[in-house]
Amino acid sequence: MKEDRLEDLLKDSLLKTSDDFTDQLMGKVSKMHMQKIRLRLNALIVSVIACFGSGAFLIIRFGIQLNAFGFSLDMPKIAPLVGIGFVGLVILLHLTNLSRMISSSIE
Amino acid sequence: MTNEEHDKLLIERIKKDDHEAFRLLVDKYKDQALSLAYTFLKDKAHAEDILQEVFIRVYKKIKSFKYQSAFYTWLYRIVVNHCHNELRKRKRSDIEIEKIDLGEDSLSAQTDLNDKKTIIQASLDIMKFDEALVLKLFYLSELKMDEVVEVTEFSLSKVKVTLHRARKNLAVILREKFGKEIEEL
Repeated sequence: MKEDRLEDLLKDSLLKTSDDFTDQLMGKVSKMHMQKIRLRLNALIVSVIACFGSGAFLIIRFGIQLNAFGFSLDMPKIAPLVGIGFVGLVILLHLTNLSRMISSSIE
Repeated sequence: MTNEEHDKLLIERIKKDDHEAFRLLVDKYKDQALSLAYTFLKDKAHAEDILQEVFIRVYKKIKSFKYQSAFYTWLYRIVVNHCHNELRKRKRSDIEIEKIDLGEDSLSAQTDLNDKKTIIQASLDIMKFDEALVLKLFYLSELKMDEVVEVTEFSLSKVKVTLHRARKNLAVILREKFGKEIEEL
């Protein structure tokens, strides 16, 4: 059999994907993309809160005198509460994020 | 613009999260990748499912693609690996030994002899797995010898010998099984 003829015959045997193949795939890709954006956004929120939290904790813990701004707070008592509160918030956000990831993977 | 330059352009757009470019790349290679996956799985619906997974993997990994080889070589390599894994999972790695029985009776039942595409596909199914794979990569996907080596991980000499044998065997099968019909088409 001549090589050209063989090549033509093989080209004719090319299988075609179903009509909605690309649309199906693009749907999956878009879903993945949205999930990635959501995760990035969540991570960003968590980092911002963590930064503000630790910043606030440090400010209070190392005794910058808020009194100078007109506040009269009992610093030694408030500092640990504020710290624990922020750490708790960060953990809570992580857990929320985690549960969302688990539920979407179950879907 | 060459084929590879066009692919590079699309890949750069995909790296910037351009979904339309990904759609174009998928449309460009999906049929050839399907034909390749079918060589392993012998089931079109299953081959399409695997191909969806392959393209998802491509989408995830394309940002780390460094153009060390042509995109299509990389893609076909992923298809081959994925199909190997799938066969291993199904414990059917002996599929290459399996041959579809195309006796005189089953032949008419399985194939519409007026359909050239079906005849060629049936012939490729009868052929040894390695031979069908190399034949498709070389003629259908138009890969160069060294690219076939890269995708299949066979040695160059094995690719040459397999290709030579495949050409010969396909011609024999076509003549024996479909002699009259193929001449008429």
